Amino acid sequence: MNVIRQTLDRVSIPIIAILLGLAASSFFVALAGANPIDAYQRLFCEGFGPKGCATFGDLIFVQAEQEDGSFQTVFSPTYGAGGNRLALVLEQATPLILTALSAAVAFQVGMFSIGMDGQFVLGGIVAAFLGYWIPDQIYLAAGVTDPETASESLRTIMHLVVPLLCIGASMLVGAIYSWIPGILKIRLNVNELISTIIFNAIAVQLVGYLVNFPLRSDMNNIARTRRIDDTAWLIPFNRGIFADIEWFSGARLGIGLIIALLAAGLVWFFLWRTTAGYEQRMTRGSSLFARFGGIPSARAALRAMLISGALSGLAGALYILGVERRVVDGFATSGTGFEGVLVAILSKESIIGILLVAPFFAGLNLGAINFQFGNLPRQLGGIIIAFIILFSSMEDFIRLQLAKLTNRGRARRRDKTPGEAAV
Amino acid sequence: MISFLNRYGRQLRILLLIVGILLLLFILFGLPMNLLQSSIRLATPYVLGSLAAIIASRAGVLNLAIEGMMLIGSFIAVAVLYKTGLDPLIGVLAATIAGGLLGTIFAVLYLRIKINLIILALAVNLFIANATVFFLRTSFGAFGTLADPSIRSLPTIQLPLISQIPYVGSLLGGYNAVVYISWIMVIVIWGVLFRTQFGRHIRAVGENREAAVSVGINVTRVQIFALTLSGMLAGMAGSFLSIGVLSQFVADMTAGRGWTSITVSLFAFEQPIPAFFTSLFFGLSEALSFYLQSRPELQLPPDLLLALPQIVTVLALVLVAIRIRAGVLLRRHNFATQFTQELQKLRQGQLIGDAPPKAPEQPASAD
Repeated sequence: MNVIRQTLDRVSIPIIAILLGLAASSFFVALAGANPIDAYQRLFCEGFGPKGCATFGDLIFVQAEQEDGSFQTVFSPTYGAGGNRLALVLEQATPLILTALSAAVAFQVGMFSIGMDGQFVLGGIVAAFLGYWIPDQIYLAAGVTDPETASESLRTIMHLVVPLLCIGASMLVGAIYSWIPGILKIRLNVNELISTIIFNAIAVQLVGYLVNFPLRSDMNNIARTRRIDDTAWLIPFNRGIFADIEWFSGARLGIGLIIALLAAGLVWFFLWRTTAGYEQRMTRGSSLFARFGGIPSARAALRAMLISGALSGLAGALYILGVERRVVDGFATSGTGFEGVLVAILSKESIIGILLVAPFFAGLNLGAINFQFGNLPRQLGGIIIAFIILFSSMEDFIRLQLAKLTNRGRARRRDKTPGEAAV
Repeated sequence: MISFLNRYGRQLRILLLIVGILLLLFILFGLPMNLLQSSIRLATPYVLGSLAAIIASRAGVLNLAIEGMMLIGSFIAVAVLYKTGLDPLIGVLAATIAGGLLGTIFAVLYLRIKINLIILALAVNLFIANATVFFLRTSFGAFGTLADPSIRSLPTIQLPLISQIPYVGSLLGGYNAVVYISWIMVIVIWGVLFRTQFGRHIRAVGENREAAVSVGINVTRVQIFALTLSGMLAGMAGSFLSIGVLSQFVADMTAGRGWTSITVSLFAFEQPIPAFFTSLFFGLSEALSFYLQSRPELQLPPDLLLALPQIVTVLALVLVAIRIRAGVLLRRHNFATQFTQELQKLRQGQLIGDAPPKAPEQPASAD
């Protein structure tokens, strides 16, 4: 009973925040001359709904057209014909989960690093480059001129090794790029928020340069790198093991999600079940107190920054190796890393919270990009997210207001009771 | 290292000063005039932005929403002028008011509802970045860029007397009104901070909140005023970006200048007048990046040149941190040496009270 009440207590604020956020944003929708309820229906259907979704109800049960032309009510999340949009949501949520974990690890040590964006794009470009460069070198060494003719065993071995190498390199690059603001903070007390924002900008410019100049593969209108070799590709479910399940057919969802869930479990274990994680959480409380307690707080903070950077680099690598397979100009400015920070803030750095909030954000973004409603632009998604963040951080204020409301009700009842007794 | 600093500190400082003066002479006479003019022009958002950061952090609140306040200023300035044909100065005024309003809202959310400052700043910046593009589309039907002949940029003003002087005239004259206002604001903010009652209150609140409360200063009110002022300055800086340089609004046109402004204020140790000169330097780095881009014969990649101001910013952050750190280390070291000397004297039998202890040898002053 107590557990239920606790969970309810913890979940209530984010849910209130989401509802308030939607309510506040509906003001802007109305200002733009659209009906908020219709707009939200459209937004959520495009984000989470099945094919033919038109109302909120369709998010749960939808009338699906069968092959013989009749309609049948089906449970939307499992309805797979033509690919379910939730698979797409999970595909987009994978990098969000990892960057949010990255942010959570950094926040848990008290470092307000938001450098996930820079680490993410650098991880991505490293994976994209190594994804064709390493196989090239291997083919060269093995004397294979045409990759198609390479022996099956060589390709199998490569398929096991190359992605691991790419991911490892991306994680390393991310970790190094996160270590720099960390060491600047610890040794020189440079504000990590400002330094990571500037580092993000530098990484974005650098990746933009790399895509446009040295790594540009063809004279395509939009600059892009060469496609990674097939042996470096993390084959998505719809092309690999679950090729017959239609649920997956529309999305490039793949092993990345499993790795992300695994990473979430490991991060939870690290933070709450190991000495190093304990040191980290203590350092956040008060780094001076932790130091007097014999905890090497500087080392804990640096370790957290390294882990955080590696997670963001991993996110970038998985996104390139599993989803995009090449870096296209504009990848750097997509802001996925920053979304991860917002996910971590809204979920109050709890791991389960991240796993729930990341798909929500991914679906909201997906819906905002796809929905065509009047002339509402996709920035509506950003406005909603900003309001949700704002309201969720008003936790104390909302609790106070709720308490006041209930207290007033109680007081009124108390006032009434003696009066009635007198009568 | 520390003893070296101690012994040669003065010489080192003189050396740095000479290098600085030589660099300044090179910048003033070795670089082309139009580069210098554009760096002075491009320094304006940093001048105003860093003043905004200074006034807020002097009041004890790190204003991390300057980026959003600048952006709303840029947007409002253009939105007011669009199809109305009003004087551009009205646009600047509207931007200033809008920035001030956002500053007040920010202050109230932070001080009354007590939202975490960093999260609040991130949310405000995110909101403004999205809302400007949202209204660009819904109110003006524009996709990412709002340009129209009815939006006029600020006219340049020739200063009456100064423009007659040969070199200085072209260096200091021929900018638009906001540039001159920003120079005046440096003096005004300096005066407000250090010569008025309100400024004393701001500094008192920033230095020690509890003490300020105990002498009867209304801390919350002072902070709200400071953040409003900060927002107004940032809004004006934003209006310069949209109608001072160009005459259009582009989505996310502040491009990190708000964050750089915070760095400028840190670099200048939250002093208005040093902040002005630091801003000039940042303006130069930005102008240089544009200047080099405009010369294709140099074969420099544009993306990397765009990163030049950011790299300068990181270097500035590190430099100022090293300076602070070195100061701390130096003080600590000097204290330790002095302490050891005293201790040795005690051990050698110069007991206190026996004879008045001689003043310890003063190590080279380390401030």
